[in-house]
Amino acid sequence: MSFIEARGVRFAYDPTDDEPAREVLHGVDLSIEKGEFVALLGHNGCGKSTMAKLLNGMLHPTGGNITVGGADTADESHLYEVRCRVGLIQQNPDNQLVASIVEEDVAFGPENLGIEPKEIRRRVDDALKSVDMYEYREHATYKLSGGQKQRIAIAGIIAMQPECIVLDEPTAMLDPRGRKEVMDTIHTLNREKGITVVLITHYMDEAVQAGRVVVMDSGTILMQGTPRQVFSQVDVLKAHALDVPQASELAYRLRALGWQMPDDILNEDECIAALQVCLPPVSAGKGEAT
Amino acid sequence: MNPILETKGLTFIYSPGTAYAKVACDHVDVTLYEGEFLGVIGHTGSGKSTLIQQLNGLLRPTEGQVLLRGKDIWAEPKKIRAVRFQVGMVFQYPEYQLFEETVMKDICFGPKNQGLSEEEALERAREAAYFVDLKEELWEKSPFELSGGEKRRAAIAGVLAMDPDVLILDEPAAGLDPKGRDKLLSQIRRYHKARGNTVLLVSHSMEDIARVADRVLVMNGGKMAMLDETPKVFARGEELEKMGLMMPQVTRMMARLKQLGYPVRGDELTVEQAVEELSALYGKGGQAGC
Repeated sequence: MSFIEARGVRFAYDPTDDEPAREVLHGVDLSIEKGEFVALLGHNGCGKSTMAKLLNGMLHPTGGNITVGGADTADESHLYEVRCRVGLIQQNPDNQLVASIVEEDVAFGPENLGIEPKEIRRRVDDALKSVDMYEYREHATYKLSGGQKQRIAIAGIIAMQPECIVLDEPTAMLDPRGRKEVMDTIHTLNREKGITVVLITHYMDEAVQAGRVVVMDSGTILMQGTPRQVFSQVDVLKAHALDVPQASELAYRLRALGWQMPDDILNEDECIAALQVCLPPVSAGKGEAT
Repeated sequence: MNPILETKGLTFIYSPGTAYAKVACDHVDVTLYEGEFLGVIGHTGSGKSTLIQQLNGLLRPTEGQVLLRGKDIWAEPKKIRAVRFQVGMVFQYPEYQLFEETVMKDICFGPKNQGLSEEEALERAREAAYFVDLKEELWEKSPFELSGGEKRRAAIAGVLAMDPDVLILDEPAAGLDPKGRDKLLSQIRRYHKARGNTVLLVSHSMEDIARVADRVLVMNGGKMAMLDETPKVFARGEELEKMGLMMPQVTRMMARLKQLGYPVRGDELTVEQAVEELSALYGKGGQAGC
């Protein structure tokens, strides 16, 4: 059995005065292995964020079930264990910080787990080092940049020593530098600590770096595979109003015009290399049109 | 082209005269022309927000001037309200500012404050709702019943309804998915074309700025680092990357091709432009056998 297994997961939000119950997930099957880096894509309203909350037991499926390390997330007696094993990071860093000093904020989680003070100190220091924020341990949280705040939120989760982190658009509110800081941190945690990562994102350059990409649409899984397999399906992704990396799109458009570009271009380097094969040598071919 | 908004030696210092004094805007001279679409980029802390908040009088410059049609906006501080109607500001995450009972009432709030009659305000509000494509069946709903994207558009409509001569938008597409982002940007573009007013758009996304802006202002460390036509600014990729800004991937690739000696312009900003350029130069793939 996989580390996380979702089988036939359905979910409907409770009805309100004006709206009947609305089902947003219609039977999702998804297995995630330990140590994997999975990117979850799809446009707003496709059910990604609901899926994130289901993975750590914040929400319970209304149909089907999810197990984390064999424990059913809907079983109240496992809830504590599930939330210890799967940490959740959300989009807005300001909504996730609870203390005014960095190290106090990171200590909040382990304190609540009833861990002894010496061990908390050790975990907080380790967690801050792993997100490269150790020098800021005595700083005020409100004075940090968005990227720094988000890394503190991640450190707070790390200090609880989860096996998996689910991140719901963690870089959506950050500038390019902050995005890079957070992405580097996530990759390091995955690579060096073996923490399983589920990353929900709208940024294709982030998805390209994952081991596996899962594309959701209207509450179901539309397709999944390696980034190369998924991003070669430019027409399918476009038809579902999803972006592809610009390098993949350029290759795709040129191929449509008859150019011999490979159909699995993922990044800049590959696209340039393929173009160099296609284009006439520089010295002979200057300005030459066919 | 006539200047509509100018800054002269504009300087803003937070907590001046204290140990925490911070120069956030340092002698900035910018001229905005009537009817232009100006993009503003710069990483967090570069002074973008401080700059734009001075443009409509939300912050009073420590030094220097803001001229609206040649007149210092602080010449008569009691009339600063009138400036805020002429220079409209859409803040980040404007949906947090919705407060009225119905969507229509919320959009009408601005024009009513300008002293327009109920009838006139409604007329303006309907027109604004049309620009952001907010369907009539939503008008009488509570703003809190709308989806995230609809709320965002309702909040923007509230500023459009004031019919400002200069419209400033701070990260209007942040947090939207690719489809929502494209839709919102094309609505802003359409509004700009139809009204012929001046638009200033702040964004972290070079791709978005590249698509919509005529000129780009780059802020760095509180100073104006560049101000030029969009392709000229993006042709200075290395400098931008040093400031923590990222070029569109396709622009980077075309610049690399140019460096390798291929006769491309190297400042193509969108995949469309790159495809056009490459196929104009090389037709169906250049070399024989390709």
